[in-house]
Amino acid sequence: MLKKLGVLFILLLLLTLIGCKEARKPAIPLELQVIDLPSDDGTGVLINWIHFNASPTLEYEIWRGDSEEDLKLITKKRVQSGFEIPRIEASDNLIEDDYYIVLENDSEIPSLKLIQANIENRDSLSRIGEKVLFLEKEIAPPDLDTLKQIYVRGDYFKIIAQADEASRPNFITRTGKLTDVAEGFYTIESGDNALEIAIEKSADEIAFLEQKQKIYENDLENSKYIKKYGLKIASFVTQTKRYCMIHASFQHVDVEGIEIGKNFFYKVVAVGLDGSRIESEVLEVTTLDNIPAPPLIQLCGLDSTENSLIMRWRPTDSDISKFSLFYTDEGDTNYEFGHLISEFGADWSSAKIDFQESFQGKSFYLQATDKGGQSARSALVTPSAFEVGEILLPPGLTLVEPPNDKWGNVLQVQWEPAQLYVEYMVVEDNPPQLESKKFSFEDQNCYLVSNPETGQHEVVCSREWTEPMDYIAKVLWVRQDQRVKGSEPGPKNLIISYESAYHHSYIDKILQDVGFVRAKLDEGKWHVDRMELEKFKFLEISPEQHKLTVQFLGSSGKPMSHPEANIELEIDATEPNSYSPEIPPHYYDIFRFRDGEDMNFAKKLTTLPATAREHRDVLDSTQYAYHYFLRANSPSGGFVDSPLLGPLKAHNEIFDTNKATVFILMVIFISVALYFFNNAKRGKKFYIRPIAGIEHVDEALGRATEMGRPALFVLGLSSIGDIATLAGITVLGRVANRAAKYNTRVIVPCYDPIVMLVAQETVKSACIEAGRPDAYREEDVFFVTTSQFAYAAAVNGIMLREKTATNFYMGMFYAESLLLAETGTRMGAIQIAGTDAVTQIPFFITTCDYTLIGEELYAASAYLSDEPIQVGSLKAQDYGKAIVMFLIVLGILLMTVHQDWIYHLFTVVTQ
Amino acid sequence: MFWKRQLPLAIAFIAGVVFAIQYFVPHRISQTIFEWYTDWAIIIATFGAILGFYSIVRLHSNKIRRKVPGWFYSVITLACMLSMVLGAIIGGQETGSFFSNMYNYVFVPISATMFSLLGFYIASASYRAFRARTAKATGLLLAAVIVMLGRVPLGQSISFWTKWNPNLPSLVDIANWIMDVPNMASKRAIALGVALGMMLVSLKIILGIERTYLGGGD
Repeated sequence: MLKKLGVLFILLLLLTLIGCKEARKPAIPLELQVIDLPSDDGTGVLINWIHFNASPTLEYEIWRGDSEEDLKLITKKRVQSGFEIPRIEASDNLIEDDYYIVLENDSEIPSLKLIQANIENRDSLSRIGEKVLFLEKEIAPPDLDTLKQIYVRGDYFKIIAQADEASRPNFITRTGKLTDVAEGFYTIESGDNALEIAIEKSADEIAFLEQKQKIYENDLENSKYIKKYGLKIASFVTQTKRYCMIHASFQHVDVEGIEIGKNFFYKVVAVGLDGSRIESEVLEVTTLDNIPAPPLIQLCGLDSTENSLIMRWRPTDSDISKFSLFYTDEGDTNYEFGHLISEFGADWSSAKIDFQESFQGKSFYLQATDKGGQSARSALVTPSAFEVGEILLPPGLTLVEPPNDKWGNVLQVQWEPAQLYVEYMVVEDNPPQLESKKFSFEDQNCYLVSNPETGQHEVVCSREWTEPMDYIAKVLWVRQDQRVKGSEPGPKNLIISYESAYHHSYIDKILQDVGFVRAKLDEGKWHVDRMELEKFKFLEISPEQHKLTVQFLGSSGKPMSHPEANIELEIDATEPNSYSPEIPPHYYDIFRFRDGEDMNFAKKLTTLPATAREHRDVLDSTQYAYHYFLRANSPSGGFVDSPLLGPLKAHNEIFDTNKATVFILMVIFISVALYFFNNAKRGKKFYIRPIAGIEHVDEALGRATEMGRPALFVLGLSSIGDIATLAGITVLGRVANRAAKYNTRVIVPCYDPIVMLVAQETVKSACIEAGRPDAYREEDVFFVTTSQFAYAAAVNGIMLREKTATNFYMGMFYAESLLLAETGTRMGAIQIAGTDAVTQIPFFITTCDYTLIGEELYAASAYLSDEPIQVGSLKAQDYGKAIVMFLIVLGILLMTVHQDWIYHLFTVVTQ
Repeated sequence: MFWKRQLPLAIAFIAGVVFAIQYFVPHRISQTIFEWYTDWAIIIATFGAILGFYSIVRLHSNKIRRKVPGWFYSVITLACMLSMVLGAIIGGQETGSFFSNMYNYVFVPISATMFSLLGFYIASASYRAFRARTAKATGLLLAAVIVMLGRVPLGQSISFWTKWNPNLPSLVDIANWIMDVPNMASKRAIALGVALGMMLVSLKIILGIERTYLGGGD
């Protein structure tokens, strides 16, 4: 039977392998270009190529070298999965029309021309081209057929309009209400109703649709109709070939290890889905330190109130070392008389200069100098009047060194105020049913016109009128959605979102302590968001004005005293609406420079929105002191700089004060443990409560001995670094010792190879200690697999084949616990389990005879050893629990009277 | 004796004390030591795979040689293991390779099958656990029924009493309460005991009182 199963398995394996068809080869990387990166310092190379989506390419490899023969792989670019999992949704047979493919130019990727055959050209087309049999709107999968794949350029659409499309109206939608103002006059008033307006097609559109052509090449003239009625064609299929058109451009910028003025050789290798490889030709490039591109000045404004010049520019190069601002005479187009005003670092893109001279007749320009000393100048600009306006710096701007950061290399710029905000949305509880009402204008001439006064669209109709001036389109009918009669606005649902953006901030100690948030509507009961969903829902509220109160609470439930922690909002629930707090439009730049260096060359660290309240700067070096400043920018281009912050140096600390409580508790606990160890050494006897699971180990082993069957010991799925595994190994030592005395086999299948080694040594020593070294069988302690369910399957198999009489499960377990223990139960084995995995304990309790719950697993080895010092350790554990219980009761009492400090005393903030 | 006892005990003591202190020291040196240790742990674990491979080959080749009952399974195990190893070395691990296909289309479905068996096992184990033979088992059964109903939409639908008074808790609320209060409390009690137990075992290992992990008794 077993042999038959084995043969069947191998047959299935072979079938699987045979079923894996050979995939088609990928296309060669097409139109490969390798060029020196423009405007850089000569340390960059740009590599471009084209990837056709139909190509079964897994990834592209980019190879580089100093010579053509010595190329090394530098990077891989993965092809997006969306490209290589194509499929055919449909093919359209072109029986009615004969189309022929003719390829133009002999380049790597020819252009495809599609020509419709007629009586005159059919013969010549059949000689120079190929007849199209099918077209595809999706890319064919690589293993679809054996057609030769040809990659071509082309942009074709199949028109999929219905036969009567020309006579069908077009539709536009508006929001409003169509009102019959007077006989034959309608207007679209503002309102929530959805209006669908049917308008006549234009003559151009009708002409396009009436043409008999089915396939269009995309062109500008008919582009809008082609896109409206056309379906992009992915490929054309002829008798022997598939012409694929959809492609994407791939690019890689190589900057690693590129030196200036050197020759580099590149090739790109396409790796197919089947692992096959196709290489491009090898191309050579010489890197050059290019002249930088001229900076682009976006703003040159004169703030007359401060007589200062505001400049904003956009860097256009990657290797700029500095920007230099010059002024010159207005007509100095050759930049002959430029005077240097100031210089700025490469990160800068704005500057304010207090210019002492008159601006009359002066022009300014900016010179970008790259790291190679080459420079480029911007165009001359003349300042125009510019009002900076009022830009406020954030209050409370400070530079701090956050305590207890792990590497001691963090400085933080922070400011106030801390922000808490609430937003809400009122939605219909039961949206009213809509009915559609159609206005037909069959006996009238109706037109959609734009009212120049209101900017709204109107429908005007008249029996006498002809076409009004500047009409948009002739209207055929209008469909208007309306509430069903009698459906009055009903109750609403109120959905509230809140955010306290600074839960993890260090700037505002009060907000850091946000425990919960609660909300109430009018004088109703409080809803508390205990799960921190940051959302509240009030269902079926009456459609009227309400008062929403949101309070941020401390950990003990006491409302916080911070002014922003109590928010009251008036809510208009008469109709659906929403509210979001206004986010200021300005933004901040944070700059840093080393103490003693030029501020104008400060490094811009980041740009932050106005909602931010801090920037945490992780320093590369802690040797220096740093200055920081904040630049508050307005959307109009103006900005204001904060005073300099610092200098400040980051320091390493030697004790994490956040963990002080943990440290104290650890010292107390260790002291208690040492006290009991000493007492035990002196011979003091301790009482420890009996643990059923441990007391029945002998009984379980005895049963295995009587039945002449082996015992099974499972050490769980964790590594040797897990304390639960170590505890399991300790128990294994005791169990193996007794089993050796009883001459009973203990099978130990291991999940981890290191655990296996330790288990082997443990069992071996236990057998020697029992005086039965011959009882140790190395093949009984073995490694199985590190795959969870494969391990479960293997151990279940061992139980069934070896018919184990006793099963021990000691260690860390996951979902496999029930698979193992339930199989053991069905086998009728005595089972003893011990784990600290809280989620698995119920499964073991249900299926095992005895279960060591949590800490009992750790107590087991001490219990089994009978050594006084081990028993003393259990006593220490009990006293530890007593301390914890005392702290829990104390915590409950203090939190009940709103004393949050106890909560924060035991909160460890890790950074 | 020095290599098998004193040296490992000394290493355990030094490493235990160093890493107990390291937890409290937010310093560059402290973090560097920790990262160095983490790297070593990864390296040692990698060598462990070689040991595992050796163990499997030895165990199963012995079974085949001795023709023990079920030796044919050992043939399949070794054949599968070697074919996967050779497949990965020769054909790579990319999508579409032999290794990848075997993993995705053989191993993953078989693992999923094992996992899905859990559903039936849970049903069987629940039946045993929920048999209302004692007062405790009846309480367990009640709690289980409420939690199960509270976790599905039916629980809300059949909570008819909330129509009379919306302030009364529905089955969903009761289920949430059972999970959040009594269940959470007992889980945390176990977790606290586990934490203390782990601390004590660690202390015993550091002080050399617990030596079984060295592979044997004292």
